[in-house]
Amino acid sequence: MYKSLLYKEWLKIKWAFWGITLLSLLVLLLMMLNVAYDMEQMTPKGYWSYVIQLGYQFFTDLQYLPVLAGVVIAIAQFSPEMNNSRLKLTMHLPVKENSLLFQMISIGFILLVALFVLIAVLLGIITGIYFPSEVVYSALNATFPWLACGIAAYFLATAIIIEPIWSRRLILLPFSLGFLDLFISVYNTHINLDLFFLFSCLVTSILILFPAYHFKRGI
Amino acid sequence: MFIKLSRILYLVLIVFVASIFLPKYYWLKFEKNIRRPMVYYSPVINEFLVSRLVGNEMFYVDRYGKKYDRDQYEKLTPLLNYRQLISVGKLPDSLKGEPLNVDDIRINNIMGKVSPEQMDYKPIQLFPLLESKSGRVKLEMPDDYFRITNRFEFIDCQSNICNENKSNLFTAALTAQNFAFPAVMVAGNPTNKKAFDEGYFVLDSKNQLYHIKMVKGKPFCVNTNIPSSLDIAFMNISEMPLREFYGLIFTRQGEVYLISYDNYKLIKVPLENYDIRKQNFLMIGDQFYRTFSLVSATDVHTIVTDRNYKVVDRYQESWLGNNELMAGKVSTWLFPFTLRLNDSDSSFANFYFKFSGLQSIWLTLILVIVSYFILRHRKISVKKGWIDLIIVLLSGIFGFIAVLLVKNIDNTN
Repeated sequence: MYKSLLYKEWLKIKWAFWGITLLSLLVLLLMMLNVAYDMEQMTPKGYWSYVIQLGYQFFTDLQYLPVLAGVVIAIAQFSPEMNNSRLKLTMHLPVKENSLLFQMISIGFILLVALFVLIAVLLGIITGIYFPSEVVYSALNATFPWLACGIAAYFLATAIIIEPIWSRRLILLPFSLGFLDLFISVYNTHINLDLFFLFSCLVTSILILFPAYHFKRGI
Repeated sequence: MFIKLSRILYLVLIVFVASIFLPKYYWLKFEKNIRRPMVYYSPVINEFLVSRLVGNEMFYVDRYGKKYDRDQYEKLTPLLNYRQLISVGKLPDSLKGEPLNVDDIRINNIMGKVSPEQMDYKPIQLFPLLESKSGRVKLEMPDDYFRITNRFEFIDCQSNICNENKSNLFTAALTAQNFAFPAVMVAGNPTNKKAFDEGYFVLDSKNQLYHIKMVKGKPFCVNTNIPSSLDIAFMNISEMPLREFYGLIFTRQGEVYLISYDNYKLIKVPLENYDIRKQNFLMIGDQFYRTFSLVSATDVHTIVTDRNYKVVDRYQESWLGNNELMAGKVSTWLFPFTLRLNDSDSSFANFYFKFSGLQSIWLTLILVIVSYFILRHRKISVKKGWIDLIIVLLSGIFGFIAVLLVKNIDNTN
C-alpha cells in the first residue's frame, strides 16, 4: 500500500522536484563562479579577509531557495488533491486517515531532506575548495536555519493548501510567514536556537492534521 | 488525540509568533531614541563636562548644572579638540604648567571602546600574521592565514594548502616556549591600517598568555607570565603610537587590566562593579588624564585617573530608559512577556525571554474571563475548552489572540 502511495505521490512531485533540484544546482554553480571571479578580482588574500574578517556571506543566494523548494513541493503534491476534492478519495483508502497523511508528507519530507543534504554537501565542497575548514563550518552553520526553514515551509504550506476554508487559510498564512521569517532573518545563531529550529521544523508536520480534519468533515 | 494536539500546536504557533512580533511592532512605533550622555573631563577646570542634546541643540553641563556651549566646551577640553582650536588659533601654549605641542597631544590622545556584544562574539578562528619589521612604512597583509589547533598552521590563500615550512617553524618556536596547544583565545588587531604591528596575544590551553608576532619572517614568541588565575573573557589589542600598553584584558569578574610595554606588567584599571555582559566600556586618554566610563542603557559611571591610574574624580548619572517611560510601562501591562531572538548586548541570535512583571496579570485575568464567555458562546464546555483558558492564562494577550482567531475551528470540537 505504502509503495503504491509512494508511486502516486512521486508522479505528482517529480517534475517539481527535478525542477527545484536543477535550480539549486544552478544557484550553487553561480555561487561558485562568483567566488572564483571575486577571488580573481580582489586577489585571494583580499577576498579571504573580506570573508573571514568582515564576515561576507558569499552563499546568500541560497537563503530563500529551501523555502521555495518546500512551498513548490507542497503545491505540486497537494494542490492537485484539492481540485474536485480528490483528497477525499485518497482518504477512503483502507488506511487510517492520519497515518495516510503522514505517509503522504513523509515522501515530500524525505525528498526535501535529500535535496537539502545535497545542497549542504555541495556548499561544503565548493567552500572547501577555496577556504579552510573553519569557513566551511561557518557557512554550513549559517545555512542550517535556512534549510530547516524549507522543511517548516513544506509542512506549513501543506496545512494552508489542505485547509478548505479561505478565511482560515488567511489566518494561518501571516503567522506561518512570521514563523518562517524567524529562521531566515537570524544571523550567528546560538546552538540552542539551532536545536529549536530543528525541533520545531519537525513538529510543524503535526499542524497539517487539523486542516485535514476540517477537510474530511467538509467544514 | 492527534487532532487535539495539532490544534494546540496551532495555538502555540500563534502565541509564539505573536509574542515576538507584537512587542516588536509596538516598539517600532513607540521606542524613543534616548541619547546616552558622553562624559568628558576638562583638564582646564578639573571638572566633568557631560554632553546633552535637547532638540537639535547640543550643549554641555557640569555636575552643578552650569551650561557650556560648544565653543566653551572646546576651550575647556583643548587636548580633545586641539585640531579645531588650532584652526581658529585658540590652542593655549601651555596647560598645567606644561607647554603644549601638537605631536605630544596627538600621541597621547587615545581612545578605546568595548561593547558587551564584542565580548561574546567569536570570529572565524583564522588570522593574518603581519610582518612586523618589513622595513616598509606601510604594513602589508600576508598571503596566508594562521590557526592554532594542535599545532601552528599557516594556510595559503591562493592554494588553500598548509605552508608546511612556515608552520613547522612557528610550531617549533611555540613548543620551545612550552606553549600548550591548542590556543583557547587569539586576540589581535588584524588590519594593515595601523602605524605598526604587535601581532597577537594568545591564551594557551593551560591559561598562559603568549605574545606572538613575526619579525623578519621569524617567529617571536614570549610567555608574558601573566597569572594563569586570571579568568580572561576578552582582550582588546590595539597598537597605539604611545606604546604605553598593548591592549586591555577583561576578566569575567569585571576586572580590566592594561598590558603594559614594561615587560607585560599588568596595570589594573580601578573600576568597580563592571558587568561585562551589560555595560559598554569607554576609555578616553590625554596627556594628563585617563577617563573610563561604563555605560549601560540607563546609567553611566565614570572615573578619571591620573597617568599612574590613581582615581582623581568620579561621576555618576542615571536616566530613564525606554522601559521606565510611559510606553514601557504600558507594555508591561499589555504583554505578560516578550520574546526576542536578538539582543543588543549579545552577538548571538538566541531566545531572549523577558517576563514583564506581575502587573500584566490584570489584563490576563480579564482576557481569561472574556475567553470563557467566548467558549460559552461557541457552546464549548470548560471541560473541553480548559486548555484554551490555560493558554490565555499563561500567555495573556498572545494566547487570547490565538483563541480568538481559531474560533471557527473550535466549533468542530
